[in-house]
Amino acid sequence: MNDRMALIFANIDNSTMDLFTSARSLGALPFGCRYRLIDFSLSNLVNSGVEIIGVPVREKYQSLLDHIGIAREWDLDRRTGGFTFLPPFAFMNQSSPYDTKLKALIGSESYLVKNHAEYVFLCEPDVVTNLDLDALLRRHIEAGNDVTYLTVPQGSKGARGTYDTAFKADETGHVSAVFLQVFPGHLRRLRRPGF
Amino acid sequence: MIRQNKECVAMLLAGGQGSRLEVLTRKVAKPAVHFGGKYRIIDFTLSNCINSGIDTVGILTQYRPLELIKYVGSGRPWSLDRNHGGVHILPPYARANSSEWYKGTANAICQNIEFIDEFSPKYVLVLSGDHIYKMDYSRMIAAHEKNNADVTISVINVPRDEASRFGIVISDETGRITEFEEKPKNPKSTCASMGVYLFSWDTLRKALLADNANSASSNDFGHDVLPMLLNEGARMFTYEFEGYWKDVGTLDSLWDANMDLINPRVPMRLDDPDFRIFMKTSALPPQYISSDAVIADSFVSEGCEVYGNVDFTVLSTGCYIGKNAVVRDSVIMPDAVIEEGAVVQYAIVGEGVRVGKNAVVGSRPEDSPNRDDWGITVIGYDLKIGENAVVPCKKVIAEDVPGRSE
Repeated sequence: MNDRMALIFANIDNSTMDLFTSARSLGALPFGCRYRLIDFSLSNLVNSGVEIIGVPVREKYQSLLDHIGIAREWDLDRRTGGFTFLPPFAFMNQSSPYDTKLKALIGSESYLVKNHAEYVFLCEPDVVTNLDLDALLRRHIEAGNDVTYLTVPQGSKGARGTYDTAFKADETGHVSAVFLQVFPGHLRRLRRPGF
Repeated sequence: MIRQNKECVAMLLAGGQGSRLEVLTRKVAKPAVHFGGKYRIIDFTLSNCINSGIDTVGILTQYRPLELIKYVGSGRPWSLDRNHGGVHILPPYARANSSEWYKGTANAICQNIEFIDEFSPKYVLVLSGDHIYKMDYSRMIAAHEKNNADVTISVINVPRDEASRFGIVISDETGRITEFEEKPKNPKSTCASMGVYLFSWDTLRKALLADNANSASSNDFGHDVLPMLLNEGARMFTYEFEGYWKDVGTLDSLWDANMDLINPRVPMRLDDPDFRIFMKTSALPPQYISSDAVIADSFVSEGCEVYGNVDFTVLSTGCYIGKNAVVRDSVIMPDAVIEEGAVVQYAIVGEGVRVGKNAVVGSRPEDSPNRDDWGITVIGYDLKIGENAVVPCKKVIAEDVPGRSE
């Protein structure tokens, strides 16, 4: 479906994983015998009808290149759309390698504009889940949202990992406040005019 | 358009019914039959081709080709998806004024002369799609060139008491062939043809057209074309192959060849990084072995779940072996389910079969009062063997077997 595309940020730096990510990006970390972490995001997206997927990479991405190749295993080897690696300096107006996710997003602007999908999924490879993102998108559209953030309830099993963002929302899920985890256990409310 | 000539084009004969595999080839051509846990028979020949540097392969299909065509696809698992060359499925086809099935092995190639001409090859390698072996054909081509041969036939030394089952080739000390005997009663040599023929294309092309014009011919390589070439004085040589080779054209030999893979004494290695056997993989989860499972001397493929006992068995992808089930000396094809307490021994269990609780399939030779009455048991695809049912040895099952109360 051409109304949707996705970016998976493969170089999420997570200091607790240094030992495993010294030679490879987190997405290329072997998991569960036969998989790599990025397989989950990629498969969820493909199973949810996303056929345009870009992966911004910054460093240590050779093992990711080896693993994904032309992404044929996910049926993403296409003449148009399909799978694309987005290394630094791939497009004009990129003056430095990505050191934050936002810079990676800005650096991928040309890619996003070229594929001009109406909806963009932004994913990280450090989540192991089976997820129907099509259902998420349908709800996003029905509710008329600008942004939908996938969350787990506070205290639930899935919330045990490291997370850097927390939300306060009403029963409909409408967000009234965003918190950033400054250091473990300490949240700081994000203040923006009009938020 | 610039055409790049190919040194050698391989033609793989995959059109026969393989009727001696009975229920296993009811719906699929023999080369598409599952083998060794995660392969199909054709994987060996296709992998041999690419490992020998042959990147142009025609697959001649006729009998039940759907499964084979789906499996081969673009040829990518064997790196045979090429812009020029690669793998091609070649079915029989209608012409403006006539149409005919492939009448014999030679006729199948004859009907595809145009395909081979596309590549203007020096050599054409004729292969069967029902043999398990690993062979570097480039060495055979080198021997063919060294002998300045028109035809080279790959041969293997077989035990004298088995020689009468094969096509026997008699050659002089230089390897030049002087005589053929098809399944002789009193074989003059133990040199058996492996059904692997290398021809110089101009020789083969002329021979095929001559054979096709001969209305008395059955258009078969072994019966017609090779004897004709020998009579005409063509330079025909043997190429002695050393290594594992098995014709899996019968249920017994198919079972044997599977057992050979897990027999450490048999020199057939699937783990040689320099000569890999490629296959199309399905993305199945890792195998799961429960704490109740007891497994020894077996292949267990991806997607299997094992709770019972598995001994000297080839478990193919996606099989389920229930608690207290006993599976031994057997070949279990993909997605089969052996329920709790069932016993399967000396059997080939087809794809998608469900063996019900406490059912017993097959028996051990040592438990048979008369060894001559003993044989392996075979269950066709997608059948159900009911609870507590008993399927004796040497049976080939083509229909569901009802269960019975204890």
